[in-house]
This record gives sequence, structure tokens and C-alpha cells, in this order.
Amino acid sequence: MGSLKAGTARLARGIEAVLRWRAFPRGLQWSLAVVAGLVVFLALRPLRHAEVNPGAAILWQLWWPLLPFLILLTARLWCAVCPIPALGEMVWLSHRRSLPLPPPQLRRIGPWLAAALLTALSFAFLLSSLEINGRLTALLLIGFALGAGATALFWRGRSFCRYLCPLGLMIGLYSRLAWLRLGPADNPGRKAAAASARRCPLFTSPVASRRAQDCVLCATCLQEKEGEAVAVRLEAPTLTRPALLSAEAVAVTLLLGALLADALRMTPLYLRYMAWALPLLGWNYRLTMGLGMAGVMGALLAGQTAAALLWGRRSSFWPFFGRLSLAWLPLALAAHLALSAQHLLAAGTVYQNLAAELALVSPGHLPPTDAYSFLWPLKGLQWVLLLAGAMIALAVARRWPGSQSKAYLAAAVVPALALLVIFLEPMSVAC
Amino acid sequence: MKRGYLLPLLAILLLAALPLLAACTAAHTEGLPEYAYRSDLSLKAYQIAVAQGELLAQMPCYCGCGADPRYKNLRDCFLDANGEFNSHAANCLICQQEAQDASQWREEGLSTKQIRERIDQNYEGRGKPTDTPPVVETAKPGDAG
Repeated sequence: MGSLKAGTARLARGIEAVLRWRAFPRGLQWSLAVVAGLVVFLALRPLRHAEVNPGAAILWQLWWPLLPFLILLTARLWCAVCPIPALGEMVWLSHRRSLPLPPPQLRRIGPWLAAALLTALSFAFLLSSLEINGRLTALLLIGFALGAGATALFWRGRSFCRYLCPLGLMIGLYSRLAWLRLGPADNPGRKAAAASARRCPLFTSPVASRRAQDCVLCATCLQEKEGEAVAVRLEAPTLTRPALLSAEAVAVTLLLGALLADALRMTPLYLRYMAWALPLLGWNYRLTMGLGMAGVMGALLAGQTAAALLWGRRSSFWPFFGRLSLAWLPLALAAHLALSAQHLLAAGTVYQNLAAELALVSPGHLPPTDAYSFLWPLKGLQWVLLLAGAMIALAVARRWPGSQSKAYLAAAVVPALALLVIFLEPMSVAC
Repeated sequence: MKRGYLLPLLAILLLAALPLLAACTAAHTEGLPEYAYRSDLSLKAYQIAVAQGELLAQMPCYCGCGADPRYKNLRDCFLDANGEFNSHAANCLICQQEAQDASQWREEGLSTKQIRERIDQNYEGRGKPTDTPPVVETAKPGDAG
């Protein structure tokens, strides 16, 4: 036990040394901005040899499935090195005038906008086959960079990352389950603590009572003169504290719904649904798919709303709604990890596509006769992830006041049952 | 609190409703196999293969299936020699895109020979093409596919 503690402390010190490194995060951020530029270039370039657009494939079949694993290990560290706000920082550095803080309206409405954008992105991903659409992928990346750049024209710091970025919202929510965070050093000086808080580009403070999910570990506070007030901490997640904002609670439900729909899409059940529903809906593929997805997300949202209305009568609606979302958050991350593991199976295809497009290997392929496979080791990993998610959900639900009611506990694990059933099916990896 | 059981149960039923309903209902597939429904592009491509099989039979496939002697033209990726459906194209974006392009160019009024030229021009280099004989007829725009 002692050696584990010492090992953890050593690891924390190692991470802290990296974060205190002067080239962090800008060096990595600008390197990744170059990579992002290459991805956009590949995404917009007409295909010559590959089957799938390599730009889209790198983004959606490599980076996207790796992201949840990265969050689990490093919380919001990706946000620190994300190339999207690089344009915003360039804008900020070019005018160098003192900009105001984001207005309270933005702080209030921002998370709702981010939740709406996250939902729109989920629909766009599935309805327009974003994972194979190079032009749309490039447009999305450029749109995000322009959004971050435009935000930097009006408000200081990384307002886009804190209040508007839909992926920032998702990463922030998942990071509640991560172990890495910045916190107060053992004896932070009051003055130093206040100074480090003032410089945070996300308007939070690692030494004050604040939400860890808002911190992107950009290390601005660590690298300043008063940085000794801050330290890297590897601690057990505090999933249940503080409570979720209303917009975040809704975002968790919609995210879980989108993940359920995506998981269904990867099974033969989806083919049966489409074959059954398409003739009923005039053979409109996108409408049929969109309605199915909206049905899954809507059912989850309706069930949660009804439960919160029933149980929240004595107090209020949102606390109950938020509690259920908190219990479902580990399930969403577990589902995301399980799906990502499935998508990562296609990583070989990405390399092959890229190599074919760069004329490094001979192009062409013979697709599998059956797109769906049941790989026991992968299924084992997925069920372990989902069961772990369900157990954490149950543990969270047990902390609720009045959790002696079995109905409370049942509501917390309902989506886990649906996910386990879906992941019993064979799943596809190919596009 | 017993009423509290009803809602989670309802949520389970609702969640399970869509896939179960679809799975338990006899699929009306217009004769297409289930795998054709994987994506919008796949479904359209299989519909084109059924409706314009003759056109696709005159186009080479560039996905790389030319390495397999069973494949002689683009139609073979959708339907085999006996007219049975082949799942190959359901898992191949190149086959699907080629079928869609051929059909769209036909709708634009191009002759079979012109469509073949465009297919060769746009898809050459993607993979070993099928050994499909060249189009010799001087087809007029709008002739049957």
C-alpha cells in the first residue's frame, strides 16, 4: 500500500514536471495544429487510391475512438493541447488588448448551446456518415476553429472551451471520472493562490473551491511565479460533487442516448429496423434513421423526466433529474469506451487507406463477406466496461437520499441493461 | 413507492421497443437482402443494381476485386452469375459510389460508352479493375440500362 502511494506520488511529480515545462502546452498545441491542417488538406483532397477519405478516417476512426481512453487517463489534458483554440489564441495575441470576461448571459446559456451542439453533432455524425465524408469533416474542423477565433475577438481567455465547445462539454463531463487534476499544494500561500486564480484562461482556480471538470490542465497557473501554490494530484474521482448544471444533466442523457443509438447502428438489429421502417416512411433513409435515433434519445429523456417528476415532487425537478444523469455518466463513458474499442479494430484500415493514398502500398481491397463479427476477447472487454459502468452507477445511486427504494436503483441501471443486450449482438467495424 | 417501479419498467420497454419491434416484424425489404440496408449509399446502390443491372454489367469495378476471377464487372459485386445477391458491395464504398455515379450519369443523359469513360477516368488507380470488355456499342443517351 505504501509503495503504491509512493509510486502515485512519483507519477504525479513526473506529470507536474511535464506540465511545468515552458513549451507546454503551446509546443504540443501548435504541432497538433500542423497535424490538423494536414488532416483538413487530406480531407479536402479528391481521393486517388483509397476507399475511405484518409483525413476523415484519421479523425473519426483513430482520434475519436482514442479520445475517451485519453480522458480516462488524463482528464481534460486533450483540451490543453487541442489545436482548435490555437486560432483564437493567435487572435488574442495579435490584438493584445484587455478583453472583458464572458457576460453572465453567455455563462448561463453557453452550456445549453454546447449541449445542443453536441446533440446536433451526434445526429450529423450518424445521418451524414461524417466518418467517411471528407468535405464535411474539413468543414467541421474549420468551423470549430473559426468559432474559437471569433469568440476570442470578444472575450478574454478560452471562453469557447469553457462555455461553448460541445466536445469540451463532453470531455469535461467524462473527466469527472478521471484521476488526474490540479489542486492546491500542501501549503499554498494566500497571495500566490489568488494570483494563480487570476491568470486561469478558463476563469477557474485550482486552489479555490471549484469544479475540476472546468480545468483543462493548461498549466498556466503552474508556470507562473506563484505556481508553487498549485500541484498535480492523482486522486480518486469525486463524481457526485458538485451537482451537474441543468444543461449538463440533459447533455449526459442525450449523450447516452446517442451512444445507445450508435451501438444499435453497429448491430444487425439496425438492418432489421431499417428494413421494417423504411417502407413506412416513404423510403427516406435519413428520416428513418433520424427518427430511430430520436426515438432512442427521446425514450431515455422521457423516462428520466417522468422519474424526476415523480420522485422530485417533494423537493424539485432538477436535483432528481441531475442525480439520475450523474448515475448515468459512468454508463455513458463505459458505452463510449466499449464502442471506441470496436471502432479501433478498424485502425488497420485507416493505415492501409493512408498508405494507399500516399502510394506506399498497392491500392484495392476485398471487403469481408459479413460486416458483423463476434470477437470473444473484444466482447469480454466491452462487457467488463459496461458492468463496471453499471456498478459505479449503482454506487452513485446508493448515495442518494432515500436510496433504499429499489426503484431508484433500478432507474440508475436501466440503460446498462439495454447496453448489455445490444453488446450481445455481433457488431460491425467496417464503414 | 411501488408506483416508482412503473417508470423504470416503462423506460426499459420504450428502450427495447424499437429494436425488438424491428427484429420481430417480418421485414418488407422489396426483395433486397438485409445487408443492403447498412447505409443510404448501400441501399441506393443495391436498388440501382436491381434496376440497372445491364448498365453495371458493362462497367469495370475498381475496388480491387479484379484480383478475384469470380468478379468480371461491377454488377458481380451486387449480384452473382445466378442472380443471387452478393454482400460484397454492402461492405465496399467504391462499389457503392461507382454504381451511384453510373446511375446519375445515365440520368444526366450520358451514353453507356461515355459513362464507362468517366468511370475509368474517376476510379482508375483505386485497385485492380475487373476484366470487363470495353463498351463497343454507340449507345444513345436514355437507352435502357
